[in-house]
Amino acid sequence: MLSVAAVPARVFAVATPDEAQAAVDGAEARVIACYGAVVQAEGAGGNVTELAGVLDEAGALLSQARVAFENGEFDVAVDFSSNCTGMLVGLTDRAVTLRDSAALERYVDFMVNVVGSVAGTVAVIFAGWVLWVYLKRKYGQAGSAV
Amino acid sequence: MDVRDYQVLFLVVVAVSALLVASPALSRLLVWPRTEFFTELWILGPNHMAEDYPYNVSRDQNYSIFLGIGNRLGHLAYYGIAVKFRNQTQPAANSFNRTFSSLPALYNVSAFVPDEQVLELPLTFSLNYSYSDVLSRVEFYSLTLNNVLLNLTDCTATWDSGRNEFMGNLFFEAWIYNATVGDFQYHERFVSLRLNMTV
Repeated sequence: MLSVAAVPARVFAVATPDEAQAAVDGAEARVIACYGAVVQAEGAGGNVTELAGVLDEAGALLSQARVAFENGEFDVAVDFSSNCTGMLVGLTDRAVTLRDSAALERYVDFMVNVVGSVAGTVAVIFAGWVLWVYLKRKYGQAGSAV
Repeated sequence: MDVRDYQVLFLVVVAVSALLVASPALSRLLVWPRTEFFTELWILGPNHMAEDYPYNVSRDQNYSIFLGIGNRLGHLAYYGIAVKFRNQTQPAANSFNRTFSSLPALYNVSAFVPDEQVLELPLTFSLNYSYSDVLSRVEFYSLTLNNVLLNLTDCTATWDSGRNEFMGNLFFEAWIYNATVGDFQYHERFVSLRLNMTV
């Protein structure tokens, strides 16, 4: 019932060229803002394949909005633009969450695999030296005594 | 027994142990740096192979190809693939001068490709044209690409007696979004399909 009631309002809405241009520009700005957020997530080491897929779909809608605008189909351009913008709702937040979790994962990975590994190597060398000194004292003198 | 007789063996055991413990750190430090950053762009035929490309086309007949983009730039890239169509006299993109065609794009395919990944876009196109007996030329009306109708009026093709064809050239230029400039820039590569309009 709600959808039936909502349809006429959209059908009779006629977008002006300025409104359509603003809608297309707004969608384009949104795509670029989301792209920037996803690039940051990728830079932090996150797997952005899924987010890039969403951007692809939004980009396809934006392309169709541009064509519709150039063909003078301003209502269609507005529809495609709003679908594009709608598809990107929450994407920036997801990208920021991914960036933060990837940065944390990278930090833990660095601490375990680089710092831990270097510290472990120093510990092995030090333990070897201590053991060598101990063995030399215990068996080295006994050996020379024999 | 003198423990110093085992000094070399002991050193080897400690060194091997130290290397084993250091291997996670070494695997991160001893990585050959990437020195070449580029984008790959290709077209495949309908069977996903580099063969059977459409050449002799008929009016309003659908043809399928795959457009591939491989990103080796080191970061997620936002590509704008400009779809253009030309006849034999209109300007083409130039791979030697690395310049794009001055023709306006009929359509822009947006593609977001993460680093070290490949995106393949299935494209279906058809051409609507007619042959003018009076002018002996093919007159184009539209190009339909993935169900999007693109206007091709004002484009005609005359008979090329050297090649025996009414030539139409569908080509795809790679543009890339430069966040510093805040705009798309030509990425110096394109792929094209040479088509013969059968009448």
